[in-house]
Amino acid sequence: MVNVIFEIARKEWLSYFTGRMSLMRNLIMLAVFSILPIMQIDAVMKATSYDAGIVGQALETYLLFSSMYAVVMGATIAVMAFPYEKEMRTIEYLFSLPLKDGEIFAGKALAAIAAGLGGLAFVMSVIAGYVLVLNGHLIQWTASFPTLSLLLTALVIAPMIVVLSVLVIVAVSGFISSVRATYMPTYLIAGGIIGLSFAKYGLGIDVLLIDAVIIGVLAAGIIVTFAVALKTFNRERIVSN
Amino acid sequence: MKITITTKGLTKMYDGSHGIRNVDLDIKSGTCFGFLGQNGAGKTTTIKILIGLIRPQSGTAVVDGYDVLAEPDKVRKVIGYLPDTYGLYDYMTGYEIVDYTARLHGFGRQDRQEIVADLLKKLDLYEARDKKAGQYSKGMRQKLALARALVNDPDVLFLDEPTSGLDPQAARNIEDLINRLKKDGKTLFITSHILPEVEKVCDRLAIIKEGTVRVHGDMDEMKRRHFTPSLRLRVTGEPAAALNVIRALGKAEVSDGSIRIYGDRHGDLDAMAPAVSGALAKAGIGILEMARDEHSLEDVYFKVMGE
Repeated sequence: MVNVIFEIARKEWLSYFTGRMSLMRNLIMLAVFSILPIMQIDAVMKATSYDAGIVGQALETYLLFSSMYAVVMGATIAVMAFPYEKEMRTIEYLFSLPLKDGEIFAGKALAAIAAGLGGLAFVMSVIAGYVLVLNGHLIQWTASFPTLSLLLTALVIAPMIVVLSVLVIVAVSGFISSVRATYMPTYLIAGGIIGLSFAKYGLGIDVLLIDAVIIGVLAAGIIVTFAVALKTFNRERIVSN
Repeated sequence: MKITITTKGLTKMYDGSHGIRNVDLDIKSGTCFGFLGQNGAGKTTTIKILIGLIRPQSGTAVVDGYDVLAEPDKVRKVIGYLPDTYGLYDYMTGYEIVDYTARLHGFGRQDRQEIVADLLKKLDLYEARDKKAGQYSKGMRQKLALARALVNDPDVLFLDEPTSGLDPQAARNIEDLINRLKKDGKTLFITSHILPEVEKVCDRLAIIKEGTVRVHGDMDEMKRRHFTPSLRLRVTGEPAAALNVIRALGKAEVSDGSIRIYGDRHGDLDAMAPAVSGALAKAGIGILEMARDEHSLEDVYFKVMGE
């Protein structure tokens, strides 16, 4: 079973990374989602005389913004799960193979999640590298750094957003035939959570509490989406949609 | 002989009008079965049900001993499927596509290498194995899709329009492959629009019209059922004079300037031919041509479609 899941995932990666536009699209997205945060953080650092506390807050906010790169990357692969396979007319053959529903679903999701998380790690490394390695000697280490909230955002919330958005796409793609329409729910979810995270320092509520709520919502979302997607997986509907 | 595919009362309707109704089929092991009908008649719907892709609203289907509704995973293990759209990943090479299928069937590395190389060689694709499928010609794509369908050495093969859109040479190659598969004892379920090809390779067939199977049976039996065996005769002089002589021997008529003599069975015609030539010679009427009227599958098809 594990082998089959991995094989499906491997094929999805191959499909994504051998696309002619893939490299170009990734470079453009990477530029947007790394250069913009770097410019913003740079401006904040200069304006606040490189205060570690402020740098931490800026990093937290913009690392989360940069996670949209991973969401878009994961979403692009996730969309290949069913709508793209249907468009390419390869889905019927895949479904005629002796594969269990769970294997197909998990293989498709794994490809998108792994690529999304890889992209997330990369874009975060670029931003954190610029801030901490290139400008680390300028930062005034007066406040504790990194904060728990920053760690939660970078290591838990952002990856969970990627996982949830991918699962949502794979799940809804069984119901929606249009490739473009399939992207929409995930952008709404990711956008909403990132927006909330942006605003959390201005809400006057303990940021760790907000983080905990966000993590709880994301965890519930991931579990429910996975369970519902598996339960409602229907080859006939996907083929006929 | 063992029955490999059985359907009883298979029904699947879309929007209340399109689909299939009460499809009953019995396909014996090792036969090549042709499933004919117009576009939208229900051929592909039937195949999709038989490979477990869609569920019927009612009826049962058994493939190689497995209930399609209760054990679709087991059915998928013993079948090979060639979709009418090929369903190839154009960005993968021929080798990668067959290898990927073998991986999904759970074959280990060594088995895979042997199976993939063997199939690609058998189908004359080995030299082109490193080319992307998107660069293959239509005939090569069809062969590649067939190679993929054979990865698990299936007992039953469903071939949806296997020669559609191919040039005559490519179509001939696919025909040869089908004949080889028949010799290997595979059960083949073929849908096609190209009737002469079906006639060449299939032993049994069914014709489906508007979702209902109109005829189902052995190819020769079907021809006999729909056409009375006849001899066609061209004679010197007026056919009417010859007709008078021949009518004494059996049922006959003039049609398109020729005389048609009807028998009940082919054996009757064999016995009748010398009697006809003898009677005509006695009457001083010369025979320019005498031949058995052969009816093709196409004749049967259009007769059934017109009914």
